[in-house]
Amino acid sequence: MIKNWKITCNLLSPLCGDAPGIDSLLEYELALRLGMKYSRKLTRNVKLSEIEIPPIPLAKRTVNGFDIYCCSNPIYSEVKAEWVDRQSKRFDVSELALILHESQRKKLLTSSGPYKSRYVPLRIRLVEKIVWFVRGDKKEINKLLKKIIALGHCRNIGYGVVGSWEYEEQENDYSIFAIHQGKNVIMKTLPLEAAKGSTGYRHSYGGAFPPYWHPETYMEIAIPQ
Amino acid sequence: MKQIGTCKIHFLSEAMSPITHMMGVSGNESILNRGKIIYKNNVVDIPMLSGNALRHKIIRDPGAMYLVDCCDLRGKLSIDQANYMFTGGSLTESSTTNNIKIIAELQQISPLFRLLGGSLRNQVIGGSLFVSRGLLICEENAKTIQALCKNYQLPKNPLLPAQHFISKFQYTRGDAGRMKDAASIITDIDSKEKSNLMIYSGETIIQGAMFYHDLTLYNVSPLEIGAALHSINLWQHNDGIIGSSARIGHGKLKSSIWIDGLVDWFGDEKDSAELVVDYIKHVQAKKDNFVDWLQKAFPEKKSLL
Repeated sequence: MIKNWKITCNLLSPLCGDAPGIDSLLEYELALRLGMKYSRKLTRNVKLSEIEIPPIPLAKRTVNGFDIYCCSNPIYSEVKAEWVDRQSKRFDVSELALILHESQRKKLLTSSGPYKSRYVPLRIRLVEKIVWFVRGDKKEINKLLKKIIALGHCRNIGYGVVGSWEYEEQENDYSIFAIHQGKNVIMKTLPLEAAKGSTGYRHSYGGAFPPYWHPETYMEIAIPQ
Repeated sequence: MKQIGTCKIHFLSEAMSPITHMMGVSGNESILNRGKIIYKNNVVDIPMLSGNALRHKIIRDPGAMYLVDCCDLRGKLSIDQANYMFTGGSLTESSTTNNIKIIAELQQISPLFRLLGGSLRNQVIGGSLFVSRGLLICEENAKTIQALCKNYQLPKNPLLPAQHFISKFQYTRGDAGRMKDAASIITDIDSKEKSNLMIYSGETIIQGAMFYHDLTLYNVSPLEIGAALHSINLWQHNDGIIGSSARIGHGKLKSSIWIDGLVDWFGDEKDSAELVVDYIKHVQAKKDNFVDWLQKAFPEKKSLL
């Protein structure tokens, strides 16, 4: 049944990078489960018109002519600490010297190029909870979210581990707008046109719909402040 | 091939020698890798093992080395091939097309690289392995470890604070010119020359400390679980090394594991030893295919394999 929900994700390890939009997360998981084309690997070279959008259990609302999923941007609980971790990678020459073919045993540039040793800085934040306000079907949302084991970047090395998901029913719909002092305050990234007449945003350029990183979704946008 | 879904391998690892997994230096002393956690509403720094190091040492390094030996690749690999197998490869060319055939072939031939993913020259292949950080079993981490263990109850005894497990080491690097028999070995000793004897020191986690860490294998087949278990076996047979200074006996972990998710869709539980044997048989049966695949994915002007 479609209702208003506050979804809370309790994290068990620090978050690397940013948390995703819950619409992206649900689309990704559902596309994987349905075995849809490009579900495992969608690149910027694939035209979005070529792919089918999975039917995620979130309501949609038309705002100034744009169909928008009813879900807020991720909201972090208090960030208790923020720092930079490093992820390192190097071609271990001493281990691999004898494994290489004789003709390949040559001087190897490791300060740049394909075999560059890396010591990549990662933005890490210590947050205990991430919250999204959504309007949708809790049972179906939970079916998808319960399989998500980590959020953010570098999930493969232990960041953003999900401990549990919690759902709290809300009387009002705070997914796209919340009312503050009689004005609409935007709760999610919207096309700038859709945010007209609202407040609480900054003007930018980027993705307005999932997949947010895909250049085809880029336009003038309003980002909640 | 029947999928069995998601599987989680829990580790309880005991330090059999001091652990020196470092994050940098403070003055001339190396300091332990630490992570921030919230404990009693304060942020505290607790020593931990990085997921990146655990992933490489437990799975990639032993797994790739096994393939090198099994497929008789020693002394035959190109730099690109070795770079892919041992570090995950590098994206060096742009591409507007995905070569699905080459990805599909790899996924059929090599469960290990299906698990780890990696980068070919012009495309990235996703993996399905999530490695947690190694959490020191101490008072500050108790709540998080209990949440990660889920169905398994930690002992009720109070745990000790992390500081209890931190100690220091100090070694001296010798100077050949100052050795007892130096005069009889070295011909041109200059007694006025400055000695290069060096004392070096740092923090260490004491022997006997315990760590909890886990591997989550997301949507995998039995062969991938077999590949992971086989790599874990190899890592353990080589003393379960983690961190630096293994040359002087540091960084040995002895792990006990327990596994969630070995039950297939029909309710039958898979035997872990059987999964390893199946993986080994698979590798041996697909040896030639793997070598062919390496040649295809990283072609050289003149074939080396």
